[in-house]
Amino acid sequence: MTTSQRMIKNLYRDSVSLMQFSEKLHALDGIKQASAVMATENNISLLVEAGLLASAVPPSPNDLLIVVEGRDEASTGAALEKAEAMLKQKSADAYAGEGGVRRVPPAQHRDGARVHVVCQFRPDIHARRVRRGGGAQGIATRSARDDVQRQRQHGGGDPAETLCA
Amino acid sequence: MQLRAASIGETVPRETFDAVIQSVFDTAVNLRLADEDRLITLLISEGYELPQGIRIWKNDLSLQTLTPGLRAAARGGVLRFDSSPLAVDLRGAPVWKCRVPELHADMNLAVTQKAWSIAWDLLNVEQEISNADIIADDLFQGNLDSPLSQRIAKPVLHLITSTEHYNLEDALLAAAKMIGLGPGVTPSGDDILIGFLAGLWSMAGQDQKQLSFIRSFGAELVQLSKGTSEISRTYIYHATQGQFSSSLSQLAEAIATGDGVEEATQTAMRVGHSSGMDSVTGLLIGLCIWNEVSTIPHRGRIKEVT
Repeated sequence: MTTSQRMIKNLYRDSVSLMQFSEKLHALDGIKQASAVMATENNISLLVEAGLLASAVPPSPNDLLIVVEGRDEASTGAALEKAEAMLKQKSADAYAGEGGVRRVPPAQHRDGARVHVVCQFRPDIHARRVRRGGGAQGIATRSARDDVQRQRQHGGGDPAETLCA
Repeated sequence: MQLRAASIGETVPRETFDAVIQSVFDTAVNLRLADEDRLITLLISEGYELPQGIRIWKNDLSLQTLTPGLRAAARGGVLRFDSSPLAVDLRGAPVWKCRVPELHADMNLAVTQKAWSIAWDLLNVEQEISNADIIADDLFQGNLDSPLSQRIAKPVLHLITSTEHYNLEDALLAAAKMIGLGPGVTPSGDDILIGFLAGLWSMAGQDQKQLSFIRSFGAELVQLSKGTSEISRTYIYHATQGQFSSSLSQLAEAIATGDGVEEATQTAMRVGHSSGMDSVTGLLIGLCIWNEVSTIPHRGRIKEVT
């Protein structure tokens, strides 16, 4: 396994596009893990600790740091090229194409803008949580869970309106 | 095309200012004010307010002509952008003000404790369902699945203990380990700190010792926030001033009054991918500081761990 990284300057994306971005990156041939976070000192330290960065890079908090772990250098290099191309494509879409308002159904609660870059996709953790069965607060939690699911099914509540962040 | 602003946050200049577009999102544009280290935000929303926000509401409005780097300027109360026909009339728009510092939440009241517990349960369920990196319960129970939660749990607990003891130095050491940590343009650590400040401001009331701590902590936190993104720094700055988004403010008020807490919690959690949940985590933890309410889940555990 090998890791590679790339810094994309001054890049801000909404949470939906970055989620999709992460999933696409992870699905690429030969890629085991992918992470895209703001290049802050604490995030860089976390990536080093997790073994996704061989050594610390200078922090640059307004830039996006993409790190991939894959089968070999060819895989990770290709993934980073693809990542940058995807982000540039999104940039063109966002700034020159559709540009303005995107309406997403309330059930997905994505009306806007509070932006989020992607964390690592970890199917192992997801599976563990599913096995654990969610909350651990007994009846009260199960009831609350039902409420949440019911609201989702009915698309309840206003869509989240957010702000780019 | 000239639109009327539906509302304006209290910290937005009203008449005249110069700015540059810092970032563009689907329903929001951040503007960096000239000669100031802060952003204001033009957002399309039916009701979401920000202290730094200029809110407009119009279906099918396009922001396609706006790109980062373009200049913007308000003259005579009308905001215009270079190379764009879009203009926003700020004149006469109602000013939105966050009321969190005026809440004086009393966590000793049964109604407040019940509201807190409802919000806590809803939060943990939503975090589990959405497979969030940070699950509030786990921070206190040691079930730390993700590298992020493993890394952030200890600073969160230290932040709680040091704040309880008015230990500014230790609180800042904990905050330094949280700043800029996690996914997102407003990373999870920042969101928790913002929520935490909302909790403290909600309760501080007229207690001078508490207010003094919050202000001192806030002043230093603004310096620490240079270690995170410019957008996140803006939210942190306003949080140190007791100013928060409408969704977080409404949840704080719902807990303080016991009214509408379920809806307010759901709304606050829906912000962004995980930002809302992280902020609510911080808010609920912040509300546990400086009181001896043993009926709140984890209250004893927080003390035990720390």
